[in-house]
Amino acid sequence: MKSESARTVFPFAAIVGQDEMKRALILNAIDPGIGGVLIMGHRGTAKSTAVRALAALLPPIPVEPFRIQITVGGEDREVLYHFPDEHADEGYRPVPFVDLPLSATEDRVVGTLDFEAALTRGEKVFEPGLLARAHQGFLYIDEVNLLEDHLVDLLLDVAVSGVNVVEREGLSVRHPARFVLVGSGNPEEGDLRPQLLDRFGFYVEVETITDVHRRMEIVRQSEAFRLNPHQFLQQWEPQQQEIRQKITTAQQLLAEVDIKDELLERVVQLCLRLQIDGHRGEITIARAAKALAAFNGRNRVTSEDIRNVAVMSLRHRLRKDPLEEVDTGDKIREAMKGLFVGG
Amino acid sequence: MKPLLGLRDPLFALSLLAIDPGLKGVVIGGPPGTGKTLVARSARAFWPEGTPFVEIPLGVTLDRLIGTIDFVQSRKQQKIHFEPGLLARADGGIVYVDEINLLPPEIRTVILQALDTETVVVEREGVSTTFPARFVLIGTYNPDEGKLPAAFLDRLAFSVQTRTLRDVETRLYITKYAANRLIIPEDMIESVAFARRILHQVTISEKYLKELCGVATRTGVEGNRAEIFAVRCAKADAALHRRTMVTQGDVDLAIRLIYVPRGGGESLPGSDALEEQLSDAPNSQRDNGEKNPRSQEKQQDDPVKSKQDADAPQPEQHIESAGDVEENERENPSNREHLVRLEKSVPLKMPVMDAVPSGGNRSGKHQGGINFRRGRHVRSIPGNTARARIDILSTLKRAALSSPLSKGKQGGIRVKKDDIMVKQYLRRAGLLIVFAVDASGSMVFNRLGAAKGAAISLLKDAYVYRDQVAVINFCRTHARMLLTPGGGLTKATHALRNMPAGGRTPIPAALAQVLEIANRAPTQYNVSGTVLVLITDGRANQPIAPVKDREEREARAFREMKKLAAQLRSKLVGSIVIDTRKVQLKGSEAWHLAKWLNARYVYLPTLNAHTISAAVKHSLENFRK
Repeated sequence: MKSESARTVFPFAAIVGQDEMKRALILNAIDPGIGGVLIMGHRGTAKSTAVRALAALLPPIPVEPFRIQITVGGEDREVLYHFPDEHADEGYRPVPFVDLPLSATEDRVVGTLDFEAALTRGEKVFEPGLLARAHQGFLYIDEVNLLEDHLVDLLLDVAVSGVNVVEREGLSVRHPARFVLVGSGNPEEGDLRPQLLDRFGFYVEVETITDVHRRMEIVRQSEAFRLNPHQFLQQWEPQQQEIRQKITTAQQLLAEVDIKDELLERVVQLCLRLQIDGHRGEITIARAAKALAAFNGRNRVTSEDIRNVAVMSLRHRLRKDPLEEVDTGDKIREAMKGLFVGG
Repeated sequence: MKPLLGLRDPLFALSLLAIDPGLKGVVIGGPPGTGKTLVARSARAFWPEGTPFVEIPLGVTLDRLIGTIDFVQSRKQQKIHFEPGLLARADGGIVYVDEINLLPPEIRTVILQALDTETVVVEREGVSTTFPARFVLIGTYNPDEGKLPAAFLDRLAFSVQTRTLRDVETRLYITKYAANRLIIPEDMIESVAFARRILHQVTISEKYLKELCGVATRTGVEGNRAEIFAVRCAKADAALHRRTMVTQGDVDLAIRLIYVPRGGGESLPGSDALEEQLSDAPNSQRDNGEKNPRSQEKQQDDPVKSKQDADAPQPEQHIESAGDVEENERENPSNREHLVRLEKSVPLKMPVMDAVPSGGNRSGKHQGGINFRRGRHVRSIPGNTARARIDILSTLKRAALSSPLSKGKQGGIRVKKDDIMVKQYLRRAGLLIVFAVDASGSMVFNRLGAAKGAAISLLKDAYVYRDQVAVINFCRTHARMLLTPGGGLTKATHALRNMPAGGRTPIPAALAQVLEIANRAPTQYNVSGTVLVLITDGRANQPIAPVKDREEREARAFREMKKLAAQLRSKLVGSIVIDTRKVQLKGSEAWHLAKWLNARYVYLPTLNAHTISAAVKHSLENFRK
């Protein structure tokens, strides 16, 4: 039972401002290993618009066989699952983009027995859920701070292990589920648990755009899109194509990008200055800086690359006391002083 | 037949919404008996006939909202048949929620997501599908029963209030009769229909676009939705006046309807004057209505006359450079003539009410007894129906695995006892912790700072346990809710740090407010119970109603405090009174209060913030059990 409505989505390139958010999304598209993005901040700041717009920018991915291991009554089987869209473009399919509704039930997220097969034929057929659909792509949770705790725990477990395990009705199922987790929300509506914060590669804070001319631009774009979405999309297609091309080139270039030991050392120093536990901080900065260098067509990371990714890589890792407001970046920028000078 | 004067703004907003669904919605707040639900239900007339109007009851389940499997159909068709829910049924139409502030937050969020994406995404119980759901949302509520979160209001263009009417006669009339519907004049409906057709031609000049965006920046509204709504509102208003060009009048209306409710009121120069004059304006119409009840009808029957009152009947291009008059108006925003013109040019005539007397039953609302579900259905497990609700879908699925339709006789499925699956619900395990903090003048001497410190450290624990927190502050003559449950921790801390202080000690008002929250908490905030943490010296000297004489005032405050405490006792799962008085006296006021509340009594001044939060934490642990 499937009917995907083809709704026109506001083009990414036409979003006014919010550069950090856009950069964070693009870098994850280049390197999913960065570990996802959490976008928090003011309401009405194009958070979900930007995330949903990302899907249209992603270059198609090669189809890989999707194997589901099933154990019934002590007997192991392997089933090859075919994604509905995998024959779209010989050997390639669009990057999966799953928009998780807050009302989703656990069985649809992890997968369950096919109702129809059970009811009409009495067969135990496993129907993959949203985690399978998100494999090799993006899983987006709007209003992530309002999602039920048990679903959050489940998603985080799978996001970290990359494997989904389901035990149902004497059936044991395993399949890979590697995806980029993207969440967005308004902190006023509810707090995020610290465990959740730490799992995201980036933490982006968005604020209201207050410049009057930019505000006018926002209204103009929004009205133009509303009046004639197709014409608007066409008008922005060259800019969209440009970003898409840059992402594709960057993905190919990524493996060659190098970061000098001396620069890496200073990244470590930065994390030490900020007393950040663990190594996730420096690992994220290094990966993100490489992706940014690749996006700009370079095979070498510069100090500027580090400056442009450090705040969103570290912001949420500074947080110790739940009462302390998340650092707005000043603390990190202060700590960076003198470490990353020049280009 | 009577005009309903207090409904002017709601009618404005609803007609603009009917012109442009991109305005997303209208919430109408106001005290009972001011005709909120009446106007909301009657506003259907603004939409073309046959437009879906779906009313969502407070007790709605996610299944009903989103959809669920239809068994009868599934059996007939021999395959799964999914029946879309209320939101999908509202596609192309209107969703209406009465008492929208009492809707459980998770239901409200699902409605908002559908409103935002214009689709309903179903990923539930083996069904994965998507339905279009382009609708507008209309909600009504009584702000005294709980406010709506700002994040919710931000998604809809309009938040308007019905006014309490001043003239006794009209008020009596409304309370005496249950109104069936408002009769919205035909020409008004026609104007809206016409506006809908020309809306896409309406343009706004750079000057007015800049003005509307400038107001957003000057008033500091959060987010960039307000300016988008403001421009749409101005355009819809232009269309309503049969113009294809936005004028200053449209811009002023947008400022009043979009920015003022978003907190832009104080910083708008001349907005008070504007507001005042606008509220004066309908007087002439009221006079008409009272002098001759037929005059409204007469106007209705005379379309030519009413069209003269409105703008030109055909769309007309206003040329910006010819706007000398407009420039003049801009320099003097309280220019009376301009405002009167604005008022006059509005083709809205006050609608009249069609009422029938009904034996004392005042409003058309449901009669209490709202049935809420206990938390959220998360999964189903084999079990016994004696103690739990059966999950028919899972049960049938399980049964079908041993006797599928194709094998059974006549498509029947045999359900055996051990096939029965029951629903497991998840309920927020947390408590609602209400911090009521005394900030009266005497508290300034009694370590108000330390009390705040203790409250802030307690908030931290609340956060860890996923409890919900409300903060009430009381001083002078009132108790104020500084933080409604569900707000974030940062906001709570901020509220505590910057609370007002000084004046008398209105403990009764604070207790009354706690009582009200405690009554609503299980349904509205989905918590297992309410805990009160009262930080005070207990020296109530301000009763709920003002009293002049000092002795009488204190005596009454004391009586009220005692009475309310006794009432609260049974409503709370536990309470803690933190005595802030500098000198500890056996039998102090706070100690007595603790006794009446059956509360744990903690004496603050001899303890530090750490030990006190440990003590309270310990109590909370007990309450949790």
